[in-house]
Amino acid sequence: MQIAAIFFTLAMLTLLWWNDPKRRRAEGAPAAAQPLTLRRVYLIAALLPGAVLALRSDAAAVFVWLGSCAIGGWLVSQIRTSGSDPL
Amino acid sequence: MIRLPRQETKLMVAIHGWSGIVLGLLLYAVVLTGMTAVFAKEINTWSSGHVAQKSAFERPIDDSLQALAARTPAEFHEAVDVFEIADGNLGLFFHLHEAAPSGEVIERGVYYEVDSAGDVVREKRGIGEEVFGPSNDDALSHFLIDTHVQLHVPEPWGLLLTGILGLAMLVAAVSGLLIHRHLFKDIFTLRRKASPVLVNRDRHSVAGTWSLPFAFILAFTGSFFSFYGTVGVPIVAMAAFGGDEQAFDDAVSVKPEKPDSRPHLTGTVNQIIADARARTGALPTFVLVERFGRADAQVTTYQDPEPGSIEPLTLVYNGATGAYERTTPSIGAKPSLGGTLTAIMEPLHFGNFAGVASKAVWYGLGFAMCYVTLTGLRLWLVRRRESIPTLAWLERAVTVIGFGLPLALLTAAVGFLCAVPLGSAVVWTPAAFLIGSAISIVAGVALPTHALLVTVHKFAIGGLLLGLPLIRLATGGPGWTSALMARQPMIVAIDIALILSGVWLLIRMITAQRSDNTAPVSLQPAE
Repeated sequence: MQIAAIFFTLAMLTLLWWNDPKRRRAEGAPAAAQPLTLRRVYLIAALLPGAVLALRSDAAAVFVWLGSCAIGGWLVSQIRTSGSDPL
Repeated sequence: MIRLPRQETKLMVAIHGWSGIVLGLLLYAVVLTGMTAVFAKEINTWSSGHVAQKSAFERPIDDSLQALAARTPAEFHEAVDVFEIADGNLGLFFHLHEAAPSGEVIERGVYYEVDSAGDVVREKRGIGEEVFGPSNDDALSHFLIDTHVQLHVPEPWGLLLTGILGLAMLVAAVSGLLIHRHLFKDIFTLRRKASPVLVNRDRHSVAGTWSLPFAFILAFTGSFFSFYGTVGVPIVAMAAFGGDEQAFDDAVSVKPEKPDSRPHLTGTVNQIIADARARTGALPTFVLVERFGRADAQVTTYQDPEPGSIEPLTLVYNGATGAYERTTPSIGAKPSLGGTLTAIMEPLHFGNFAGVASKAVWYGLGFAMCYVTLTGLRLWLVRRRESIPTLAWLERAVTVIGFGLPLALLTAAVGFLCAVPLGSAVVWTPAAFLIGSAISIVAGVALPTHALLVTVHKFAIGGLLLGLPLIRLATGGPGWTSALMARQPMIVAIDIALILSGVWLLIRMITAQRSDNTAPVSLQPAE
C-alpha cells in the first residue's frame, strides 16, 4: 500500500514536471499542451495517497510517503530533456 | 506565494544570506554527519564486521544481572541501565543519581560489557559520560554521532552550539519561505544555460522547496535535543523547583506510592522482556531496572513504535513479581499532548520509526539539506564574485569543507578499519579524520585553480568509496557469503551502496573531463 502510494504520487509528479510551463519555457521546449485544469487534477491526485494514508491513521506511512515524495520530486526536477546542457 | 513589502523582503534576504554564510559551514558539518549517523547502528555492524545472529535481549539476562549485582557496591543498585551494544554484547550500568556542583543530575556507577558467552569483557567506573565513551568496536559510529551531536566541543557548549545551528536552520527555512515569491511555480525550474547566479539560485531553491517541511522538522527536533538538557530542564527546575533538577525529575516520573526497601531478589527480567515482546511484537531497545533487589523494584522497557505509529512505547512492570502494570507516556503519569510530542521528537529526528525504509528516506532528506546548504553558500559567493574578488579564499574554504568533510569521514572509516584488528581504533579513527582534513586543507591552499581543487576532491572521494569495501575485506571483515549466512544483509547492502556511489561519482567526473576536453575552445570576453 505504502509503496504503491509512493509510486502513484511520483507518477503524478512526473506528469506535473513534464507539463510544467515555466520549466518548459526555461528549457526552450514548446508550451505545455495540457490545460491548467488537468494539471490541477494531477496535483490533487498526487496528494490523494497521503490523504488516504492519513485517514488510515498510519502516521509512519504518511511520513515515509511524504519524505519519499520530497526526494522523488527533487530527483524528477533534475531530469534533463534533450537540448539542455550538462551541469 | 507570500508577498512581503520590498523593504521587509530585503531584510529577509539579508537575514537568510548572512545567517547562512556565518553558520552555514558548521551547519553543513552537523547535517552531513547527522545524515550519516542515521545509519550509525548499521555502519557499526558493517565496519566492525559483527555477525552476531542474536540480539542480546534474546539471551537470558537475569544470571548476568545477578552475578554483576553481587560484585557491585549496593549504593549503585539504585538503577541499572540494560542495553545492547556491538556484536550482540550486553551493556549494564549499575548507578545512582547525584547532583553535580552545577545542580545538574548525573549518574555515577559501574559499567559492564558482557559478551554472548556471559563473560565480562569491559568494566569501568565513573559518571555516565565517562563510561559510555567509544570502544574499539564502535569508535567509527561513536565518532559520527559525537560530531553530529556536539561537534566534539565539550559539554554543555557543544550542545548549545548545535542547538544554535538548529535554530539558524529554522531561521533560514522561514526566511527562505518568505523571500521566495514563486515557491510552487519554480519547483521544477532548473535553468542550466543561464548565468551562474541563476543556475545556483535554481539549484538552491528547488532542493530547498522540496525539502522544506523536513528542514522545519529536523531543525526543530535537533534544537529540542540540544536545548532540552542544557537549557530547558535547568530553566523549569529553576522556575518550579528552586533549581533542584532531581525534584523536577521526580515530579515528572512515576514513583512507588509506598517505598519498600525490603530485599527481594530481582529475577524477573527475562520474563518481562518476553512479555514486552509478546505485547509489542518486538524486543526492547532499552531496559531500566530501578531499585534493583528491593521489594518495590520496577522494570521499564522501551520499545520502538508499533507498525503504523511513530510514538515509541514505554512499558512498566513490577520488578519483584514481573507483572505488567501499565503502558506509560515518556513524561508524566498520564497521557498528555506534551508527553506525546516529547516522545515523537526522537523518531522524527532520527527517522528510525519504520526500520530501514524510514532511515533511507531520512538519509535522502539529509543529503538534500546538505545540497541546499552548499548551493546556498555558493549562491552567496557567486553573487559577490564580481564585486568582491577577495572572497576567492571563502570559495575555496566552502569547497574544502563541502568536499573535504566527506573525504575526511571516509579516511576516518579507513583509519578505523585498519586499526580495529590492532585494538587502536579509538585513537586512529579521529586521527585519520584529522589526517584527511589536513590533506584537504593543504590541497585547498596549494592547488592552483578552484576547478582542480574540486576535481581532486571528487576523484579522491570516488576512489575511497570504491576502496572501502576492499579495505574492509582486507582487514578481516566478513565476506558477502558469510555475512548473508549470518543474516547480516546490511553489510552487503552498505558495500553495494559504497561501490555504486563511487562508480557514479567517477563516471560523472570522467564524463565531465571528456566533455571539457572535446568542447570547442571559445574566447572569453576578457580575452
